[in-house]
Amino acid sequence: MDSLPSNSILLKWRIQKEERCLRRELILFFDLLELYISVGYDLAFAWQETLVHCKSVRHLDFNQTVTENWEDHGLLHHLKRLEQTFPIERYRFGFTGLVQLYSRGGALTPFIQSFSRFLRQELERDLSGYLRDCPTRANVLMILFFLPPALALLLIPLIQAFQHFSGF
Amino acid sequence: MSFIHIVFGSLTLILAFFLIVFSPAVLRIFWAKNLLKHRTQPGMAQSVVKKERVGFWGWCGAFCLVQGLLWNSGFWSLALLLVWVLGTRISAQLALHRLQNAILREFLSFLYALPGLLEVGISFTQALEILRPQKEGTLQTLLDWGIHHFKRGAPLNATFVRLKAKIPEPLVSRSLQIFEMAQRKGIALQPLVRNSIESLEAEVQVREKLAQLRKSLLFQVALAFCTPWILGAATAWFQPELVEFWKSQKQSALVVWGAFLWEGMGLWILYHQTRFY
Repeated sequence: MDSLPSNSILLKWRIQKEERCLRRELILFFDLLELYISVGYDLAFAWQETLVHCKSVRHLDFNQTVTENWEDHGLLHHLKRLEQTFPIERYRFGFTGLVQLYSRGGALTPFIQSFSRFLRQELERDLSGYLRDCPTRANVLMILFFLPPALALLLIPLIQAFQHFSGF
Repeated sequence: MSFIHIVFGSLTLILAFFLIVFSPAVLRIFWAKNLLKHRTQPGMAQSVVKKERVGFWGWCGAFCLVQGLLWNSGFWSLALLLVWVLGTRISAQLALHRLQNAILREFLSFLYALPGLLEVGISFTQALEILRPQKEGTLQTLLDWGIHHFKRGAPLNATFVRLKAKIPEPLVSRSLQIFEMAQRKGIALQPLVRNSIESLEAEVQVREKLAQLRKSLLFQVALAFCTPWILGAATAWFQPELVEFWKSQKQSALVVWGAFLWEGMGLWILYHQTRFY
């Protein structure tokens, strides 16, 4: 989503909302994944089981990337693809870490926990920023969309009456 | 009545027919009544439907519409219809959000007590029955329904899948299904419950902060929206001859509708801008 053209303000807002929804689903996904891994399941099995409960991930590529060609390539190939193509660039390091740890047999739980923590902290930062900026944005929008009609309804009749009665 | 008025009036009647039949208000009432079909406490059914408040909006809107059709031209009937449709949709959305927030809070208080029972060896289904919310609420209604079906021999998985379809709050329904899955696969429930508490608490805090922000903006937006019309009404009161002259001008209707649509667009953008998700 970082690479999409964002000239339009409305498109930017839309992209931000999609990112937030995707992040919310990612937090749930990695929480569940950590639970499966911590009880001893393999990452490949845990990934598939967790996807059952996270079907509503907004960005379809996430699910399609993981589930299509499943039998041909395996989880490692899908993780490598996500490392390159995941829509939010700043989250790709999560898949890089999983690829490295999974291929070398490293412990996955601490990494997944720290990635979940990172996502939660980003959610908090995003929310604080949103709560700080929203009133200002709303005030600008109100001035833009409610002041001109008030001026139009007051001034246009006066101007037309003035023009008519003064003979213009 | 002129030809235009007859056409507007007819179109209004046709639109009204389709909107009354397929209106979200009607659908919401059907959903609420269907949800409570297997209730053992009929009084609760009435209070949940009343909480929706959509029926009230629907009847008020229908009354206004009939009055508009009888006493005004089709043009004003269309305006009244628009107000009725928007009011019904907004009311249904607000009622759904209130219901979702209430269910989430009830579920959270239920979750806080769950780990304690699980630690002493009580199974999830027994804990569900022991801890179901004691005071009347929608979650109690829904869990009662689930427990009732489970006791009659329905498999737990199937019960929770059906419960998921009935619970209007997706976080709660998904959490219940995850707990059921964990119990079926033999995964420890305590860490799962702790994770769920953390996630749901974060979600409740986000919603509360956003609701506070929206409340503070709502009054300002309502005042800003009504200001042009209040000023117009004041002008008409103090300068009626000016308003009569202006009404006779060709562009007057265009300016009024243009102002209304511009403000409507502003409301739509503000509504989307003040949504975090």
